[in-house]
Amino acid sequence: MKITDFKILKNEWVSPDCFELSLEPWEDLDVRPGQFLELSVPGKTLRRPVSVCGRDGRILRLCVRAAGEGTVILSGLKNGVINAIGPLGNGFSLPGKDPCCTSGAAGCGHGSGMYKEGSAAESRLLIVGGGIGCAPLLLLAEEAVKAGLEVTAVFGFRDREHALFEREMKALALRSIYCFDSEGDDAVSVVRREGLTDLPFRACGPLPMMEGLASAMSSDGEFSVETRMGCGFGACMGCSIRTVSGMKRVCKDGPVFRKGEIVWQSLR
Amino acid sequence: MAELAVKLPGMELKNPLIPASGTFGYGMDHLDFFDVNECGSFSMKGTTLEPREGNALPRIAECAGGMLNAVGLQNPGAREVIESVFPELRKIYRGKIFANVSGFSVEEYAECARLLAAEDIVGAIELNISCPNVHGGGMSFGTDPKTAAEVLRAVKKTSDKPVYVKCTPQCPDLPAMCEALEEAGADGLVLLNTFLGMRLDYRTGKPVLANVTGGVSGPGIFPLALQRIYQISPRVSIPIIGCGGVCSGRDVIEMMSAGASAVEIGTSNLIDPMSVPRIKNELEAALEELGIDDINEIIGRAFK
Repeated sequence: MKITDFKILKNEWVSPDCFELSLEPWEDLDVRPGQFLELSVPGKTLRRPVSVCGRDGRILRLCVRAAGEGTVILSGLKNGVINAIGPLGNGFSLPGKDPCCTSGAAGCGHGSGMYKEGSAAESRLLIVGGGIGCAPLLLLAEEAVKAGLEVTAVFGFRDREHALFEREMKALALRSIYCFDSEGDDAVSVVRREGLTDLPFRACGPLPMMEGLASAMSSDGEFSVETRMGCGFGACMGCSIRTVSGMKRVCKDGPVFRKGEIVWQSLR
Repeated sequence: MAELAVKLPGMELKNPLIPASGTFGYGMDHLDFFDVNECGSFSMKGTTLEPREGNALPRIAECAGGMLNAVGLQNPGAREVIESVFPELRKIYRGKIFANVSGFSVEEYAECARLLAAEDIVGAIELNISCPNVHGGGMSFGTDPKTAAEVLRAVKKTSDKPVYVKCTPQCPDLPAMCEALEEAGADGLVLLNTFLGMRLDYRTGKPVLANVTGGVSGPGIFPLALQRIYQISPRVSIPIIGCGGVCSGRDVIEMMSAGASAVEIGTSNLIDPMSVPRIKNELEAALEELGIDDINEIIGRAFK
């Protein structure tokens, strides 16, 4: 983890409310899928946590929804330099492949050696995203394909206009299904309909989608959750959620948690 | 290079910079950024006798010049801190810390302070009678001088370690409160905790924080904290630790000039995790610019 400046190479709108930043770090950063950066925002006190959606060599791509004052300011930064802390958080694991889980490293949030997904299913992975929650999943999908997994991705959006990453997903060797609220369909319904409920999964999206998915899936998996953060690196306890093993900081113990860990009520 | 060491009752600090409670965890989270032994000391996360989950989410909001928090004293409880946290902390930290003690009754404050004061790593108790984010405790002890004195006396009885009282700006007569605390045996004062505030979501008109209100901190409260320190320091003879919006070496010099013997750094630690080493460098540069050899010369300079 480093505090470093990034050169803003590109910043452009990719949907009516989302923009994509291409940032070149002063120092190389080793970012895992699901990890995030805390970006400083001109004129704002607090940094903004944003996950990394792609990597081109040392350049990091971040997709951000302009949802509040801070992210709107970020959308207007077309060049110059931005300071960030990162990479932060634990990130997703890949089924049967992840060293942080098999070693039971402290604080990885994925649990210890107890965490075993069925070996028959270890070659397959289901990725489920909703809206801007698809951002960290794009990088995960790339890594999963690279690792030789057979990936099915289900991405849900409000409507076709708001869809993200269609071009990128098409370029990957995976099966991807896009669905839209405006057409009366949603990611959890697709997962049920397609009979994918027994696959190891990774998910990120709006709370109702994630809760719905948690109850639909018979298999184990991981969710990346979002809460308002003070610091992003564990010092302030501003982002803590309740889990079955006590209070956990989303920024440092998460943002990725196992399905059975999360007490959903504390996120509502 | 100017001498930065300051002396406080029961604590000798190699510099006057103390990360404030709630912005530095139990000292472990800033290790990724710098050696926390560079701090003069630090004040640990507010701790209660029993574990607390804290408030519901959201706990964080923002405002021009600062932020609001309503964490609500999430902590693992004094026993767990002693059994699990301190052994880890001892491996990386050689100094003494301020044990920030909170509670909901006089007895609870006293028992929590007794347990923590018995630990060698604890140099002093920071009695938190000023948390604005828990109901039926914290701040309610800090707004009435009689109750505050009662808690302080009970805590003082539990050990020989110095007790610093962290005061709330919500106290209707803060100077009178500080005088009452000195009278009741406080070894020092920490001026001050966060200011009570709130934000509403402009779309819904409803509070942003689940707790409705929160504590305002950050650079925006610096002049407010400075004014209280300037007002109170001539009225007490016990040392004051300044706290409120300090973000730079020059802020430290202003606060010490107003009468603070040391300063706590809070919100700045969250925005810039390297605040302490940065502020230390700025402080050294500013003292050199002023031709001051020993930082103790600037304490209360406003009145000399």
